[in-house]
Amino acid sequence: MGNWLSDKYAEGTIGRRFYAGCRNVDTVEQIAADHATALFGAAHAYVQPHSGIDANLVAFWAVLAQRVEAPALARAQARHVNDLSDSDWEDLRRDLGNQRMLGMSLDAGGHLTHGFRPNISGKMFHQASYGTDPATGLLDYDQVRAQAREFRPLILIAGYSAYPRKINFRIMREIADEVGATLMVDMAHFAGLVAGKVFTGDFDPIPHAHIVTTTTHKTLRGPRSGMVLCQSELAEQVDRGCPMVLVVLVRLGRLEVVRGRAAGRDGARPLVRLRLGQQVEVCPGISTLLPYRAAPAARCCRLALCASHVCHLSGHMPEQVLSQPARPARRRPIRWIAPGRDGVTLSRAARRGFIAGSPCAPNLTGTAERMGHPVMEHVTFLVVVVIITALAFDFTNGFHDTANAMATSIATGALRPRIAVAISAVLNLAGAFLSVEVAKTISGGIVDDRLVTPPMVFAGLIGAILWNLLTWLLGLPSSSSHALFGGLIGAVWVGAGVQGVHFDTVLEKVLVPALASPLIAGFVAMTATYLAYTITARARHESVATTFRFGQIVSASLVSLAHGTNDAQKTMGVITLTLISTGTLASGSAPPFWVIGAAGLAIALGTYLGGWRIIRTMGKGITEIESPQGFAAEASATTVILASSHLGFALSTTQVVSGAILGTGLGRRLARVRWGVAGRMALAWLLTLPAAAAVGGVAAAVATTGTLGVTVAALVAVAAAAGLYAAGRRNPVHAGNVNELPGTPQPAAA
Amino acid sequence: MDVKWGALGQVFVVSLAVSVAVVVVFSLGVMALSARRSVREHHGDGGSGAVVAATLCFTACAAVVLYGLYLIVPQFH
Repeated sequence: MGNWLSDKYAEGTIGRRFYAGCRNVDTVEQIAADHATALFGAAHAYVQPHSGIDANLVAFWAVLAQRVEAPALARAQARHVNDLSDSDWEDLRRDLGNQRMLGMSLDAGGHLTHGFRPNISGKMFHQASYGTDPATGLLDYDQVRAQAREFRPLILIAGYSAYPRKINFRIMREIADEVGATLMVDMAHFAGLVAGKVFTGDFDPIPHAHIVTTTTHKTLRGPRSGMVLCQSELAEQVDRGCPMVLVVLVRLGRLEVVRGRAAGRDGARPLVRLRLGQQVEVCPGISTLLPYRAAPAARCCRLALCASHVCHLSGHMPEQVLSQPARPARRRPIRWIAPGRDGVTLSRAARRGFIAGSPCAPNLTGTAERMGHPVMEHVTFLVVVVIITALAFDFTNGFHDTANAMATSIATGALRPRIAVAISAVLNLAGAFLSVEVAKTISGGIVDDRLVTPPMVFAGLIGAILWNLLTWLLGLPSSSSHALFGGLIGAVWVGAGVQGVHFDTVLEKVLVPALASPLIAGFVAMTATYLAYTITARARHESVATTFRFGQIVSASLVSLAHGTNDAQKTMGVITLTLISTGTLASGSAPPFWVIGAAGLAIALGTYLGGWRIIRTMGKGITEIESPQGFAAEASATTVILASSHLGFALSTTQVVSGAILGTGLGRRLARVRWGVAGRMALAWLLTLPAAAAVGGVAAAVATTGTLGVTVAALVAVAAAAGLYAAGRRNPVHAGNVNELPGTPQPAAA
Repeated sequence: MDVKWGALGQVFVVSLAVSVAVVVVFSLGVMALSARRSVREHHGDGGSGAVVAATLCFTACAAVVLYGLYLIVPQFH
């Protein structure tokens, strides 16, 4: 990037060079300075620095010259330092080395060149730092004010390299004025946002600070360089940057490129303005992906800061991960953050965390499509959509499975319908809070979880929800777990290819249990029922009815509690794993309290609303149930469920309970089992997986195309769900008529 | 495919044994209660043996329920 200007000695400043033949250099430097002042609205610009540290040094010495050297010269009535006596000169040297500076601490996001010991600035100044409020991670202006009053710095520095927030420069100026300090702002990390008029008013440093420094290669996205902007009273001192700090004018050519490109004449162009604004707009995406402190108000700066103690990552790991070659964003929007090392700024200085910034993203033509605004917004949007959809699924899971616990109790009159669903809802909620084991995989190994992206989870959930609603409309109990598995299988098959589906695991975890559950539970319940009736055959009827009803209530409550610990946990797992996959939670995190609460409430609300259609089928449709049967069925179902979950062979609750009810019908002599209903139920079980998979696959095909696709899929799903609900309203089943079978020969169609 | 047939068999055997045991014991408790009522109807009092039997039966069932709670609530483990 050398040019002819690079080879020219041009020390001094415009019109006052040490060497002759600098007329063209003067012209170029003047143009650059004019562009800089026009771009930022500053009174004066000094454009010679090579970099940020040079610019800062020029600024420091300009302030020292104005505040320390000039008064000393005035006192000695000297015009130039060369005119000072030796003793005055020694006094001045001592005074220059005895000044105080107050800046932001390194661990709060400050910069090394703001007076820290390893840097020359720390060797020049007696430095003190202000931090951020540990609770909020925000700058506490009152604390800055208190510190400034006590420390009385010559220079108050505002600006940062890793503070992901806006700073109110009006307040900082008030503080500086109060203590007689010069306010200096190092805006290198957000200069683009100032130039692009994203930071305005109190957040624009130019009108508030006495002196402002910046680089040109960060958010201004130009070649490497720096500059100093100042108010007019400091202009003369700033222009003494050379010889004071002896910056050599070699980068003007580059600076001119910067001016033309990022701002200056182009600054007013909508596209440039848009790109600069984009750097802020992408931040919600970045902060969604990083568990950085106080995430909610992130839309204010282009940075996201991630402290190691929050994300359990040192600077090294993110650097390695983020330097991976790009992968197609469409397939893996979670991995958007990987499109190339240029997209991310990493600070490894403290090894205590890292920052991810957006400045290069919109600039890189090759990666803009992936790194730019839409992709990152897509991630944020998706996370919200997945969470809402997961909770909706949880809700359908609740009302679909109320019947498992309460259908027999309602049918035998052991509990009044409203009481039954209320008990079940409370126990489901309690169960949600009791469960501690987090799902380690979204699908339990049925699909390749490494290929599962949020759009696929979303699509899978849609498949499961719609199938749950359809079976609810038909009054058919079907496994919500199988519906979710089916939805995910379809979504992954379409989204990532057939190799993403583990069919042997499907056979092992879905098909075999689907066959085994009703058989085992049916046989156990049949045996138990037969024995109960045989033993109590000659017992008094009222003893039998009341006592067995009591037993029914206890066993039904156990089923509800077990349901809460298992099924709510599935949704928590989906939400938590989605948040982990997008980086919002650290890997291995337990579900946050709000996730547990939301999942528990969703399933409890669903349970309380009661899937009355399914309750009717299970309580009345399969067979007429008496209280000994109800007890035998519930006790058997509870035992099978608990045995299966503690002996390492998971069975589906829905199929266990349905099988137990069927078995209890067979176990009581003369009881009539409606095989037609049982057959329809079996058909529904058979169809659950493929049907949910089909819906999930279609949804995935749409949802994996981007934000628009997700929106379309969500709208279609909501419309379909509303349609199914409306169809249900035409022939409502509720607490009042749940125990009345319609007179049609097909009671399940209720 | 790795279907754990052994575990499935275990689930079946344990479920059958526990369910049958609970239902039989519970039914015996019901019988005892019923017997006590019958005795009282005919003699006005008595049936304390039946009460003891019923209490034993239902206590046994309660113990199983508590064990079920223990299994469900992970904090107990």
